[in-house]
Amino acid sequence: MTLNAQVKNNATLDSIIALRKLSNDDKLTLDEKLKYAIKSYELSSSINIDSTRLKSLRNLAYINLISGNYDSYRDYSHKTLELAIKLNDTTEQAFANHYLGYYHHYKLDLDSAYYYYYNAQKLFGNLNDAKNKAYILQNMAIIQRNEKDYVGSEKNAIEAIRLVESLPESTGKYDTLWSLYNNLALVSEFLGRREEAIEYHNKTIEISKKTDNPRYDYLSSINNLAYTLEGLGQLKEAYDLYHEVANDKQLFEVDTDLYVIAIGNVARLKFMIDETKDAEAKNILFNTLKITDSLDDTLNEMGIYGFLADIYDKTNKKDSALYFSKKFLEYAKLTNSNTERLQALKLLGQLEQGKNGVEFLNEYIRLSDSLLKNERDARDKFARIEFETDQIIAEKEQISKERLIFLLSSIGLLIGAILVYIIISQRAKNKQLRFNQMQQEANEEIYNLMIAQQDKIEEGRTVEKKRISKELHDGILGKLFGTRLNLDTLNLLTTPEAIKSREKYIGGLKSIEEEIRKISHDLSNDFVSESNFIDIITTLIETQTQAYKLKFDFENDSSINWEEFTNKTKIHIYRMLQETLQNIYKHAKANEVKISFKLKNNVILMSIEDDGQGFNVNKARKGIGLKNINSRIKEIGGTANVFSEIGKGTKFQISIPIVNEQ
Amino acid sequence: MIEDLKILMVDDHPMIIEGYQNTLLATKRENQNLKIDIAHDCDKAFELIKKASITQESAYDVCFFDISLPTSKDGLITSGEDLARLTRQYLQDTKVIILTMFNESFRILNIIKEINPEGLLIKSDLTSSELAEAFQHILVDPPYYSGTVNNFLKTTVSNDIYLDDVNRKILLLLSQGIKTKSLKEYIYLSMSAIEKRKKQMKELFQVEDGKDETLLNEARKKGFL
Repeated sequence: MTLNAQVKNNATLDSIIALRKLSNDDKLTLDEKLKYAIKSYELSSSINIDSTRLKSLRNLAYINLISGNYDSYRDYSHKTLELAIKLNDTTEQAFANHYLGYYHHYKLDLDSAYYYYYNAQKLFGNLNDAKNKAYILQNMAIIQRNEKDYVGSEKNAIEAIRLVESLPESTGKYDTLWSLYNNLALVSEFLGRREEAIEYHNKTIEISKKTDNPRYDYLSSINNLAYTLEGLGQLKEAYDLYHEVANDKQLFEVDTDLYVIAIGNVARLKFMIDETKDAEAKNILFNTLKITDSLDDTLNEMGIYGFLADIYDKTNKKDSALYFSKKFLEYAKLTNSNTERLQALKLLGQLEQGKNGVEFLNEYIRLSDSLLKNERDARDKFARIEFETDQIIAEKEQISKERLIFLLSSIGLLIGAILVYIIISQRAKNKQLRFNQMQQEANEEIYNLMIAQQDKIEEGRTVEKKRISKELHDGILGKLFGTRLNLDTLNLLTTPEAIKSREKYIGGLKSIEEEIRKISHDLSNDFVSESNFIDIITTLIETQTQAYKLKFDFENDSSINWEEFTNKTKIHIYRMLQETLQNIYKHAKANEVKISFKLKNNVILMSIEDDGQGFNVNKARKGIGLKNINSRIKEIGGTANVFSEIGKGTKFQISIPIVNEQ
Repeated sequence: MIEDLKILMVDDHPMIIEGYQNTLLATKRENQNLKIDIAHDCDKAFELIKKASITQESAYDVCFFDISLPTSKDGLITSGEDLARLTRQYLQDTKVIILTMFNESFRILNIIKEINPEGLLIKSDLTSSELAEAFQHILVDPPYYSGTVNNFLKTTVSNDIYLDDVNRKILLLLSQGIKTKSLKEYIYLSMSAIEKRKKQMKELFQVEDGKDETLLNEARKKGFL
């Protein structure tokens, strides 16, 4: 990346962060927020930094949620989840799951909601984010309660409470706690553990003092407590509590729903405590109906119809009872309230005579059965979702484990293979090195042999020189001195004897001449011929053939001047001959070998011929010896030919050009 | 008055002995009567010396010894030098003249030191008149050395440097182009001893670069070669 590009990227990053900030600015309208969120996401997509894109994506999902665009909220949440998984970002995965859980919760698709919540709480748990985990567990508990999985709900609520209580003091803490204890109370109520429910209700009443809406929460708690007390038959106490709720001056404005419930309960209890007060109760209920009607509050309307039907039934006003029962059933069906539907059907079954009554009762039984089954299913459902989710995770883990094992074993195998390769190549290299070393040693040996030969010749020369020197000194010099001395003396005399004597000495000079000529001849005669290389070769052939028990015939062209060759070439020739002889010994089963050196057009032809079993030239695998010979030939710029036929011996011919080194 | 002179001449070349005889006979004084015995090898010469020692009155007045002679059969007497030593032992009054082809300085010095002969003549310098003169001179007033020998002695004496025979031989052999490692074939010394001597000589001649060639040049300048 160039510096410019980087600077540009940094600027872009800054603007993305600024846009994201703006999108969460509470002073702005939702539309503006959404606009900034979209802009930040678009910018993030333009640069290639996934982590930034992920953050902008989740932000956009969130802004869509608060803007009420649920479909966009879902889509962006899904995208967030995908990207988070790709980037292995656990935090973002947790939030994305949370978002999706919330979406499905909102859409009342509780199975999916539960599934995402479950994932989210697990991830938050892994991240040690107790607050978010508790919040999600709370939602899960509520879903389970609504779906009548009371035991599951209780379990999640208790876990959530444990988490929340460990959190530091904060505003939301007691709201959550209230809600959780309330949930526990309701669950206990549904499970018939009313004493426990009362305890929990008391707890919520206590907590409600610290919540954000203490009064409202308090009233809700009181209302719920009253319901439990009612269940325990403490009608008077229940009535008083309902009455307290209903009489709150602000409740109607703050929470009409609770107000309606409370007032309805007041009316119902009034009647239950004293059945003579039916008119009073009905009056309250009819008044309440007006409120619910105006608010289009079908749920509470249904409840009131139920109460009215009950009161009319109990006061033996069958027609009205039947009317309200039917209304009750109608609204129960409308609001999908199964418990109430059952109540209505039961009541109708009792009220209607004959065939209709039986039909209602039959429907009651059918519904009751199916509800029982649903309830049972629901109870297992969440456990199953959890189980399946865990199973998927376990499978994923298993797969990743298997992948890891596969990866590790692949790496292991690869390393093993590399090691084996290294070892093999190292061995080959070592072998080559050892071989080269052996070659070197062999070459040195020959070289030393040649030097030794040279020394021997030198020695011979020295001996010869000494001999000649001695001969000159002792023989000729002595004679010359004697002759000179005598002639010197005789020179003084003129007697006839003296003249005769002189003649004798002058004649003696002749014999000295003869001697000098002889020595001169000895000197000119190359007393050490240049045959040292051939001597070495001859020695080689003799010793090798003797060792291999071969007969040999060696022919050397005396016109070859071996001194013209470099030592290198001579060594190669020597080694090639040696190796060929070895090959003959090893493979040929020969009796005789013919070796010759011939000079032809400035090329030396070395020929080695045996009378062994021969081989098929085309099929023979090149052994190391033959390879060696080839490399040597290459080095001295020669060529080699092998002529062989099975049963007819082998002829190995090497031509070596004479290269003038100068 | 007739002066009888008994003479022994040893040389393996009969012609040389003949030459000596002819010269001496031709140049002797009127009153000198020469009686000459000759020998061609060490055995015969030693035999004559021993014989002469027994009959002292017939002892030799003068002995002529060539240096290189065929070794005696028992191998104990290898040269004229040995014979000269024996003569000194057996015949105290005999004058010894050594004649040699060798004009190698180391040998000359060695001969003078060990034998101190009455005459030392280098054959290559020698003429008949010089031989005659030397003979007469030695009889009356020994010693007589050839001119070459005298010159050599002069330079040696004027030098502060003294080299023993082995060192002189080493120098000589080196000057003949013989390699140091082959020296032990000529001198009965170990390689390390030879090297040590060479090193001493290099110090003596102040050879700074340590080269054999420089050593030889220095030795030549100072007359050791």
